[in-house]
Amino acid sequence: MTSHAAAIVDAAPPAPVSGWRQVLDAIVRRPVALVSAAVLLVVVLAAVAGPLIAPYPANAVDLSRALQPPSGAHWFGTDELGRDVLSRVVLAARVSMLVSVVSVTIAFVVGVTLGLVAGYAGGWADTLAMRAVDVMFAFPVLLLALSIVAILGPGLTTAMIAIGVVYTPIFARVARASTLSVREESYVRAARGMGARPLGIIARHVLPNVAAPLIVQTSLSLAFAILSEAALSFLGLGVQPPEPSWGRMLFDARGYLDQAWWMAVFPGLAVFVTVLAFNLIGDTLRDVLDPSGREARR
Amino acid sequence: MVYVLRRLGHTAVVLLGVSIVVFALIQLVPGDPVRLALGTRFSQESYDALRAASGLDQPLPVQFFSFIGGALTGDLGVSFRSGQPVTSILLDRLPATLSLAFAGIVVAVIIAFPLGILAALRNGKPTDAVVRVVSQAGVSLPDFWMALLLILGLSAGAQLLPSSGYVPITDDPVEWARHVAIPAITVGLIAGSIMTRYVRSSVLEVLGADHVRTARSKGLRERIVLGRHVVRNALVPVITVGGVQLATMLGGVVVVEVVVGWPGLGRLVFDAVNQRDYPVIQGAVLLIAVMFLLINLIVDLLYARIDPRIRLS
Repeated sequence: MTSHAAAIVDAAPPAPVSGWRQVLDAIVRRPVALVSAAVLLVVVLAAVAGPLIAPYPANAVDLSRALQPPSGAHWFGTDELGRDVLSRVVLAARVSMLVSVVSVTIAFVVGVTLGLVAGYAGGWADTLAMRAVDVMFAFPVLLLALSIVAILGPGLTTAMIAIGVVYTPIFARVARASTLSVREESYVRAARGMGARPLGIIARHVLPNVAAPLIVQTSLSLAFAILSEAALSFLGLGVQPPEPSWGRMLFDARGYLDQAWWMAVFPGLAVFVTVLAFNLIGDTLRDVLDPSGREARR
Repeated sequence: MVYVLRRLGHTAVVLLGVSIVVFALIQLVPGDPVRLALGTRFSQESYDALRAASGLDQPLPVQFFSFIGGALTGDLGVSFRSGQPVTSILLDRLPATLSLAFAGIVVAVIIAFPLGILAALRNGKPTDAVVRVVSQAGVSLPDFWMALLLILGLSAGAQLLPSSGYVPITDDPVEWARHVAIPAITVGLIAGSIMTRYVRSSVLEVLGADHVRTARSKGLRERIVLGRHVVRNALVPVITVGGVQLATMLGGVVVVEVVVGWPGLGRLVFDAVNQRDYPVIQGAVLLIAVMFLLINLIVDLLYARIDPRIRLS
């Protein structure tokens, strides 16, 4: 995001958080949001209860059934080792959700703390924090993640840390922008005047009033975290085989494109549909909770 | 002038921060980076020679200032693997990445401008809804999946285009175009989806402006109002988004370059990460970040020149 686009975000005053009931109403009223929510429910169900839903074990190798096209027995076909692609797609949801939820939690906690403190304190603390955020924004997301993998070595934990680090600055920027406008509100000034401590004011008065754009950002970041996890796994730097992951399945499909299209189509479709659902839910949340942020945080 | 100086100062500060992060990259590696890079079989002489060549036997402040000094003079050290200067490795890879980025941005513009303008003119109608859903879908596409699907359809299936490889544009422009088509459509489609939203909202904003109402009330034909007063003004803010997308393509197409075997900077970083060739990772990351900052600087200055309100705000 350039400084100009950032200025649009900075200028957007936070809307007060509406109730969850309003969010649910909005989701139910919009068919696109309702379908997205249903898709996400299915993905969460697959992540939680994958082994109970999947028709076959993820690593059940059967070379006699290798590279079979979709059929009644194997809805999504089989891979080069005869493993059921549908089962692996279902079981890979766990890795994808785990990495994206943990990494976005890391980004949220670190970024929001940084943004709240910087925005509330102002002065040199704000300048220093925002310059650090600018430095982080100078690195493309995947490149920064790859650099972190180069330091820590590949693996699931590294993928979570790497994706968490790369999405921290966006949360810091959103939290800071909202805090700046809330800081001068009369209720915050009143709390200050009554001698409340800064950390207490931030936790009790600022955070609840900057929650709306942060909730929207969380939904959008979950979408991009899933994309980043899939990309890292595709490159062999995320979760390690034989644990199924959507990205790794796509990497394996590369060698069989002219023989087994299903190996490339279904895992990719799983990533695409999940990311699209998070993005569409994010859009709905923005429309309800933070209409002033439209287009600003794309 | 004040704006230009302020913007240059900001870029200089961020550049210093970027250099510190890139320098820290090798320092944060747990253990001895030279030992990690050499693997298990190496002689003490080759170890000592590489350690001395990389400057890692020097005290930390000396290493830092030598890194900054080297970066300013174009000396980014030598590869742990090949022993070649990092700068020459980067320069070898740069043309492939640049040519892919420019082809990608052309595809993005071809998609974004007509679709964004059309959606804005049909605001609230079914065409608008379709364009919005399609652009949302484009943003959600994993780029490497898109590349695989294109290879599946255009290469493995229809046999129209090669599935991988690279031919320099200077050697054979036609073969370059055939090889660049799949990666360029992939990155262009995703960037185009993002840009479509900006074009749409920008055109919508200008459509409601006073000068457009005045132009219409003067009795100008709709085509002239749109061409002269709406689209021209609406496209100015889109420069910013286009610049960001170009900058992103220069550094962020690692996976696409890996899928189609495109020998650019992204592929270089991927190979270097696998080989733990830290000087190459540092050099490539620094170059990409510097290009990103410079493109953003140019775009912001260009934008401020076109729209004086930015300078005054």
